[in-house]
Parts: sequence; structure tokens; C-alpha cells
Amino acid sequence: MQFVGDELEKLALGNGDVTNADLLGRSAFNRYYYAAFLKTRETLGLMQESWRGTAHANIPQLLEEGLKGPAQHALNRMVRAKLIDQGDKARILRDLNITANGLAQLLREAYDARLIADYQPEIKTERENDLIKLKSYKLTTAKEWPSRANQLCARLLKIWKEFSIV
Amino acid sequence: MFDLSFIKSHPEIQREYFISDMNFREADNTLVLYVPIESVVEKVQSGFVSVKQLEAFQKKLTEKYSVQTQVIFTPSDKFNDIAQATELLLKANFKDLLEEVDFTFLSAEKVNVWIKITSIETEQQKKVESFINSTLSGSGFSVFDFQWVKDESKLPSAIDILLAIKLYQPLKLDKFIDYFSRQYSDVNSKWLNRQLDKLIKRKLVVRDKVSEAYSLTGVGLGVIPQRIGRGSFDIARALDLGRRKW
Repeated sequence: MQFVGDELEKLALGNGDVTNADLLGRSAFNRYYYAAFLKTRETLGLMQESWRGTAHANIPQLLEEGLKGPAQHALNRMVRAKLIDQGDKARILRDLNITANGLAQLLREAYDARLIADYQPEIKTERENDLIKLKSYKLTTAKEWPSRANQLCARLLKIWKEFSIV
Repeated sequence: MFDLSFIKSHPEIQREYFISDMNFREADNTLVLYVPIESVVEKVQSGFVSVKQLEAFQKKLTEKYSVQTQVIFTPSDKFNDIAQATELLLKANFKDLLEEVDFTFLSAEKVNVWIKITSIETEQQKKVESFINSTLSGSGFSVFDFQWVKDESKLPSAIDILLAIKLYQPLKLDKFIDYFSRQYSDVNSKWLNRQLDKLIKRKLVVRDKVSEAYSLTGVGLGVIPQRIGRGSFDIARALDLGRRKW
């Protein structure tokens, strides 16, 4: 998906026709979103199998609210077994919260850009030199969504492994 | 379709909440408000809008117009420049300690700092935190969330050890090493013995004196997270027992 997004960006920048450049640019936003989304969904599936098929719009909420319950449950067991103390539990929950919220925020923004790209053709992309923008979203920033999602997913998994099996 | 003209015809509303742009997404009936992150603060203050003020405004809009609302904080080039400059300063001053640093701006005052380091020592951590505090406070940041990550651990966690016993018990030390060496390059018998002794003290594991093999206690079994479905540990355990028999 990242590769396709990159190629679409190049095509958009190199295309002199405004209509075609717009279509190519908005498709690039779509590909970058999907790359980030698929990585996140795969990661959530590793954390808990029932989260594997989570719908697009529900992922941010799952990240912000749905992880706490299972995490607290597992951490409470570890505290009772004296594998960790309350301080460790607080630190792990805090790290989980910060990382999951960061990923949720990224996906919300990417999803917004993708919906505009796919369903609001009346909102055109704009070109400023070699920069393509859609509303306030720069394609150069969208290009980083997949790697940023990869980074946050790796951190999320690392935290999850402290109290669960992946 | 939701009509944006009400908000657009009241510029004072846009000014009050620092709304730089808005969009109605018919695809999911959501009104999206774009607010520059440089305008957002943690607590109410003049010249800015607070996170809670925005949440209250969203609630009013939802109640009045029966739409979902979302606020998107648009990024700041200035903040990105500050992050890059701070990262360079950190790497220059803490070259041997820092591996990676990452800044996420949550408002004009709050920043999350994720730091990967070679070793976690409290004194060094305090110095790095103090440096970041003093560097960023000059740009208006006062609330910091620090996340400290040590270099990738090449050793299994307590849960990994308990799971290995659950799957293959009774398990001797040499089999443990075999099992873990594939994933964790730093595992050795001395380290593993220490971890197993800790688990025995906590009554999660028992060691048979004759066979020198380790097994879980009921308490130890209760600590291991459950996995339902094809990935179930009970199924894996049953298959392993079957393999031994056949």
C-alpha cells in the first residue's frame, strides 16, 4: 500500500492535467490510510483474536476505551501473584493509554482524509510547488502515516506483551 | 444533509473556538471541526480554547443537530521545528545514552516524549527529563508525559516462562533453554534459574526434587491469560501431550 501511495504521488506531481492530478493525489491519500489501518487491525488481532475484524470507524474508540479492561484484568492477576507491584501496573497502564491514544489520533486524522478523498470529490486537492494538500492534510504527512502506525503498533505490542501473550 | 451555514454565518463562534475550517461528512453523518493545535490548551485561559471547552461545544452541536462531531487538531510546522531542534540538542548532550526520541504534541502546553535509551538509571533519566523540561518550557510547554523504553529486551517475560511450563510441563532446565533460545538470544541457565526461583518463592511454580522438572501450581495457572479459539494454549498443550505419546 505504501509503495502504491508513493507511486500515485509521483504520478500526481508529474501529471499536468488538473483533473487527473487530483484523482491521483486523492488515491494516494486513500492508500496511505489503508496501509496504516491494515497494520493497526493486524496488531489488534494479535492482541486479542476478537479484535481482528474491527471496522474502520470503531478502531479509534477500541484503542481509546477497549484495551483498558482486559489490560487491568491481566495486570490485577499479576499484582495478586506478586509478579509486579502497583507501581509497575500504573506505569504499564499509563504507557498503554498514551500509545493507544496516539494511534487512535493518527487513525482518526487519516480516516478523515480518506473519507474526504473518496466521498467528497467536490473538495479538490491543491498544489503548492511539490506539495499536494487535501483540506489541511499534506500528502507528505500522509506518506508518514504507515511508518508512524508501524512504530506505534510495535510499541503497543511491546507493552501488551508485558502482561499478555501475543 | 447538515447545513454548515449556521456556523459559517456566526464568525464569533468560529473565533471563540478557534475553528479554522469545518466539513460535514455525509458518509458517516459527522461534522468535523478543524482547530490548530497551537490554539489548544489544557485549562481555560484567555487567547486559547481548552480541550474541555471543545468537548462541551461538541456536545451542544450533537444535541442541537443530531450529528456526530469530531475535532481534529491540525498540526503545527512550528512545533515540528521545535521537536527537531530539541532532538538534535538531546542527541548532542546525551550521545551515549539516547537511542531514539519522539515528540507528540497534544496541545500548545502538553507534549508526550517517548525515549529509547541504552540503560535505565534514575539519575540519568532525571537529567534528560530536566533538560527537556527546560528546553521546551521556553516555547510554552509545561505538561510532559515521559515514556521510557530500554533497548529491546532479549529475555522472556515472567508470563512467557509460565506459558512455556503450561505448554510443556513437566519441563527441565535444558528443555527450557532449547525452547527460549530460538526467540531470546540472551537466555542462559543462570538467568533462567534465578527467574524460576523467584516464581517458586511466589508459589507459582514447583520443582520436583527427583526429576528436577518444573510444573505450574494452581495459582501459576491462574496468572496466564486465556486464549480462546485456534490459538488456545490448552489445545497446544493437548497436542504436545499427544506428540509425546505417539
